[in-house]
Parts: sequence; C-alpha cells; structure tokens
Amino acid sequence: MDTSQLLKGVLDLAVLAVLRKDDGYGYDVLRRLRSAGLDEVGDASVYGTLRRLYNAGLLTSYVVPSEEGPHRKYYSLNEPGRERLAESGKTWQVFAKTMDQMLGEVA
Amino acid sequence: MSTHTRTEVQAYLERMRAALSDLPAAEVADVLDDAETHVVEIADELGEEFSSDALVRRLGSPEAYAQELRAAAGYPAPAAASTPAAPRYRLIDRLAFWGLALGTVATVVVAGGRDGFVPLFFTLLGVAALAAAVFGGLVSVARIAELPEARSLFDALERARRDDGLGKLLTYLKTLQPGWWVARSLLVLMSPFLIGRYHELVLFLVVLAVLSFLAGSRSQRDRRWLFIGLPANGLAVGTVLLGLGVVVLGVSSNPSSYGVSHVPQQPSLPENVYVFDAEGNALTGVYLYDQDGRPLDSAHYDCAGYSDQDNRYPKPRVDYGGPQGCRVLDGVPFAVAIPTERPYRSSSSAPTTTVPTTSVPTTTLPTTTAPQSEPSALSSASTPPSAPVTTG
Repeated sequence: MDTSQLLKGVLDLAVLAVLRKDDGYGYDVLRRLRSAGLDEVGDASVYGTLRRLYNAGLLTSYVVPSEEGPHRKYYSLNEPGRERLAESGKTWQVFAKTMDQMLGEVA
Repeated sequence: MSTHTRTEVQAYLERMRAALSDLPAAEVADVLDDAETHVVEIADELGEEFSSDALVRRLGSPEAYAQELRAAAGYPAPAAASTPAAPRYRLIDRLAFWGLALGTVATVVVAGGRDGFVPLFFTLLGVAALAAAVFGGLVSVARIAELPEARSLFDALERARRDDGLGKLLTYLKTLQPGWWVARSLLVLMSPFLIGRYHELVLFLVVLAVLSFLAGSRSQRDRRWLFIGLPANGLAVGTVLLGLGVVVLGVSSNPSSYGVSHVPQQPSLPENVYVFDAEGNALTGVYLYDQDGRPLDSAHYDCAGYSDQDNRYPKPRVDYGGPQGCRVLDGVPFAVAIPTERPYRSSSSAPTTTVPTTSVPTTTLPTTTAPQSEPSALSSASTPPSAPVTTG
C-alpha cells in the first residue's frame, strides 16, 4: 500500500505533533518528520500543510532574522492548535487500535 | 551562495509566484517567505552540485511545487483562465482611488486648519464631484478594487486583521463604529460653527451629515458609500482637531468670538469713577487696581472720538453738545456729602489697607522707573505712581 495515500489524512496531525515541543520553521518541520520516519512526505505538502494550519488559526508565526540567507518564519502551536492536537491524537489512537485489533488476526 | 545560484533561486521563486498569482497577495507573500528559506536551504545542501536542473530534480518544477502546495494548503484550484487577464481598471478608476485618498486627507487639513473658505470650498466640491462620479456609474468600485494599490491596501488590512494584537484592536474598534457614525454626523454638522465664518456651507454640510450617517452601515455592503464616509471622516477629524485647538490652546482665527479665554477678562466698570476722601474732597488722578493688582483700565475719549485705555480716574468728560462744539472737561461735575458715621469697624485700618495696593503699580506698571524690590519706593505711599502715559 502506498504510504503517501495514508499520509494525506494524517499529515496535519503529524505536523502538529512535531511542533508540540519546539517551534520550527518550514524546513525544520520537514526534517523532523523525515527523521521520525515519514520519508515519503513531500516538501511542498509540508509547507502547504503549515499554511493551512496557520490559516485555520491553529498555529502562530513569527520571523527570526538569519545572519546568512533569508529570515526564517517560525511556526508555533497556539492554544487551539494544542486542543486540536489532543483531539485528533485521541481520534487517531482509537482508530489505530481498531486497525491493530483487526489486523492482529491477519498478521 | 554564488550570484549564479541566487539568480536561479530567484527565477524558481518567480515561477512559483506566477503559478500562485490568483491567490491573495498577502498569502502569496507568506508562502514565498517560506518557500525562499526552503529553496535556499536546498541550494545550500546541493552546494557545488547546484544547478537549476538539480533543484528541479529535488523539488520538482516550480509549477509542480505550487500545485502540491496548493493542494496541501487547501487553496482553491487556479482560475480556469490562468493567463493573467488584461487589467480591468482604467485610468479614471485609478484617479478616483487616489482622489478619494487625497480628498480624505485634504478634508482633515482644510477643516482642521485655518486656510480659509476657498480651500475648504474646493475640497468639498472635489469630494462631492468624486462621489457623484461613483454613484453616477462613471467610476466602478469593482474596478477600483482591482487596482494593484487597492489590492495591496486590502491585503495589508487583512494582514492586520489576522495579526494577534492588531486584530483584537480592530475588532474592538469595530464595536465602536456605530457610535462613531453618529458622532461623525454631529461633527460634520458642527464644523461650520467651529469654522465660524462659513455659513454658506451649512446646507451642504447638513446634507453631508445625513449622507454620512447613512454611509456608516451601507459602506460595508456597498463600497460606493466609502466615497462619502471617508471624506466625512476627514471632515469630522479635522473639526475635532480644530475644536481641540480652540479649547485647549485658545487660539483661533476669530479671537473675538472664540479665543477670548486667554485674554484676561476685565471687570466691567461704569463709564466713569469719581473718588472722594472722608472730608468730601474730590480726588483726581487716582489709579484703580483690582484684587490681583491688575489696572482697572477703561477707555476715555477725546473729541475726535479717539479712545485711550488707562486706569487713571476720573476720566475727562467729553461734552459734544456745548456751544463751541465738542469740549473735553476735567474736574468733578458734582459734590458729595460723606456721612459722618463710619461704616467700617476701625478708621485706622483704612489707610493701612490702602498701602499695599499702592505698592502694586510699581510691580505691574512697565513705565515705573523705580526698581520693584526697593522698599523706599513702596514706603512713599502718598506719592502717586507715575501715570502710564506711554499709550499716547
């Protein structure tokens, strides 16, 4: 099964999750997702997801000037973002448990 | 990063920008902020191997990047006619936009300033003509909204609305809006009275006050009303500024009616004052002062009708009806009998209370030659102070 199809549904949750502890700019978020094991995540998809979460009011952003190169726009989780993360996280865990139980018999 | 790399990165970003050009400018700017850091990061990673091909192998074409980003961000699909259409606005729309901006600023200046009737009249005329052009259909607000400068203004407003602090402030200000609409109408109505001389404009301003009230809620749905609301804002703000100027600074172009607060008010005096001592002898050449040591000046006239101000009493009388024509008469025209019982408790206290008042002129009369700190000048209470004769 193509992971990228699965990823579409949970990229929001994944992005919120990697921003839970530390704020990050776009490329940070991308690296954290990759290093967590989501190799197939598309660069532009992550940036687009950040914009969507930001426009939905789940993230706030601030700019940090960089000595070399362009300044970096950091995204951080705000209160609605944390609430959404908790909520979606619970939904995912229930869903994953259901899937595990179902697959437990097969695998 | 080499110049070559920088150029390639910029070219990549420009193609992305073009692919997203149907989105609001503020959003595109935000997206490209992110994308620039991203592309620069990739370019740095590629280092020596950087080329535009390598960049595309890594990130996909700018159009594909934009497409993927668009899908993930939930932006609407690009408009069917993705080729940028010819601008729909015309010169007249641009003139109207800047005319409105200029007119709004100008109303603040002419209503708040003291430039006189002509600038105010022509500003209001211009604003009215602009509004007539908009409501008459000569200029379309839809096309004005397409102007790049209008779009960047809207985008700036949108950004402010999304900003945490500013957004809250704007939301709060919005709740005050209905109150401002009422205040604005009243201020527009008041402006001719504050401005004072321009009663010719009262009818116009009454109409504007009514229209500006209507413009309040309507301009949110029908942007044409902004062409009335914004200049009315300007007029109201200018009027407030003018009002503050009058009240706080007490300065006005029309001091006889508004600027009086800074002129020390003189107590009203009778036409003339005659003074007698306890024996009933008339005193002449007496100088009168109030409780603060200010001279009680009043006018006296000569036969030419020329008036002069001083506090020396009694004033010469002017007799216009004499047989030789007009004459100036000195002296006291009547005698009095002073009652023998003293109305005051102590007769001895009377002279001591008058001494300090005679010392006052030495401190306030600029013509006094004696230094004000010299006590010997003050002790000679019987010597009348030198008359303020400089006003001749």
